[in-house]
Amino acid sequence: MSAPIAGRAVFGVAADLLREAASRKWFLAFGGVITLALAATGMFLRLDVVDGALAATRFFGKDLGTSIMSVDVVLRPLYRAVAYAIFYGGSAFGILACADFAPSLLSPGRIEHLLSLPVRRWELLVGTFVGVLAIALLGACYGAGGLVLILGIKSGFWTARPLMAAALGGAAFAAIYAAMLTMALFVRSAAFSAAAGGLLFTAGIVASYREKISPMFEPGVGRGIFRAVTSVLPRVAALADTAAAIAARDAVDRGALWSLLVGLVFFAAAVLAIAIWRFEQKDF
Amino acid sequence: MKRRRFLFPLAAILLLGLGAYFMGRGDEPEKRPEAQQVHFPTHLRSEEYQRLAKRRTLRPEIAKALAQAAQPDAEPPPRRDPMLAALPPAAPGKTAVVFEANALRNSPIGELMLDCMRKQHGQNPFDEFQKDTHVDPLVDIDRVAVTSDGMMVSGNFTNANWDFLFNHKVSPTSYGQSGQIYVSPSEDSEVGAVGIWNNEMFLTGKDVASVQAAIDRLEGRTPPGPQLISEEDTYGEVYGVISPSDLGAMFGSDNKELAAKLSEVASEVKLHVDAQSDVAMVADLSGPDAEKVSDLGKSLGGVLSLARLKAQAEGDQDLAQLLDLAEVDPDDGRFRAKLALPMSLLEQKLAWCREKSDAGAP
Repeated sequence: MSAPIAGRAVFGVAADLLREAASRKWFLAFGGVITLALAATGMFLRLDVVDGALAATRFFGKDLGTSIMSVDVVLRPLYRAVAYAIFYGGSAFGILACADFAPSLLSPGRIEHLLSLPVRRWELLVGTFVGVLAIALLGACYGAGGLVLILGIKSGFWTARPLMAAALGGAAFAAIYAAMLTMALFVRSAAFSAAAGGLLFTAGIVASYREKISPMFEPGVGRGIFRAVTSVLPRVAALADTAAAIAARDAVDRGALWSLLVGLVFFAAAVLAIAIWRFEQKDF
Repeated sequence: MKRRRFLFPLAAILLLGLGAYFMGRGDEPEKRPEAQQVHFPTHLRSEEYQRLAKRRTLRPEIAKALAQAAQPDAEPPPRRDPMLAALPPAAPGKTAVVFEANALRNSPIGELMLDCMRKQHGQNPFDEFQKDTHVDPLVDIDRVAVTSDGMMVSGNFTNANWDFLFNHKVSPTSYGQSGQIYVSPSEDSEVGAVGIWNNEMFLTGKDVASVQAAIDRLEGRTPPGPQLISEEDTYGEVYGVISPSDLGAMFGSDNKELAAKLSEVASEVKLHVDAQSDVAMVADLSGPDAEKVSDLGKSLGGVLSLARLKAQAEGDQDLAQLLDLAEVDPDDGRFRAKLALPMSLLEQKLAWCREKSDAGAP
């Protein structure tokens, strides 16, 4: 009999979490809303494309009075809006909907049962994190992918950029969820977990503008503290802007994007390291 | 076990530090390129209202106004802009485009073009002209209008010497109150006559009659009719009306069908170009048949789109970027075509014009 592969249980835990999410009304309703929006777009949006230019746009039979331009140029604001909606809307929904995954995992009775299984503690945590990351990416890619498919069929213009933007949104949420998971290990409460997510989400937006905000602080201790605290936080708004720019084919500084992404991965890893440390110390 | 206890907190601190380092690299504002935004001219702005008010200097009907003043109920006629008054009256097929020469000269594109001319000629490109006429085009010329009948230039020509006209072979004859006309000695000349009015306007025409007609309009001997360019349309650094056939001729041989359709469908094309920062052009096209105008707008949009796709396919990123900013806005029985030339792109393309001056800059 071969020895179990280290970390393999992570995917088992993640799959369990996906099954749990699929059975929750919140997620079903969210999926239903996205499906309805896509179906309405598919059925009622009519794009009149002439030689690659969008000559007219009708929604529910009403002419929207759009300019006659190259179809990909016309669709840019739409893709930009969708990228922002997925990024901010998806993150806000995820913070609320995923807040009680970790507290329920740690609930008396369930955690003892899980720890009695041949699963390491860190695998439980990382599995939960990977499961939530998968939910975030699936939700974002379902919305963006559906829209790309519908607009691609209707306009003949195909692009994978909104999917890339959606994936970026999913990745940013995963970093926020790492903090929510860690909070649940200190205080087993869905409300605290959601509050931690909301706080980090907001602080991450502030951190994106730290270069502009910090001169407003008096030079010295105050500014130093602001800069030190915001330096470690994920740049939520900067990532949202980059995701929207990617979706809308605007110029993107690839170096800055990679820096933000690598920084995001390090942040999530750091917070997960604290979570694992706390979990290892805890008696159940 | 004790070592493991501190391993994760230490790793977390290290990872947070690394995260802060990488995210900090993406913080610098200059690393995020701004999306290109161009402001298109669509109406008179406050500075253009002021410019318009200052130019209302002409009251050719002054004698008539004085006579009317004797009657208590009579209102004096309003003052007019001499350049607009001198233009031919509105009629189908007429073209008149006014270039705000002084504003263009002081605009970013004007400065850049002058640098290019200086670079090419190695001196002030207008030196010769200034020697001949005692007119400095960079200072003395205010506006230049190109019309179907000829050209008009307004400005300060008090010190001008016009004897060089027609190789010093012609002497002027007086016309009207403040006009002087030089008639070409050659019948084959494209410019049949040149008029100078009140030392503030230079007019050319195909023949003497067209120059005389312009001076008549300036001095109020012709009843004022509908203007080819109304005051409300004097916004931008270039503005005017282009006849559809003249515009179609600009399309070149590649777009003959579109040019023919333009001549058939459009009755009027109004043009406005803003050069205060970027160069942004707006063309308003209208015609009697709303459906045909709408189809023409779609065709034009298609041509722009195809040109953009072609530019992308051929790797011509500059042209593709220009055409990104091109659009056609349809409206009831009319449409508005927009095209822009970002200043940053022009500066990049014409960087050679400023190489010497940049190198010499402190």
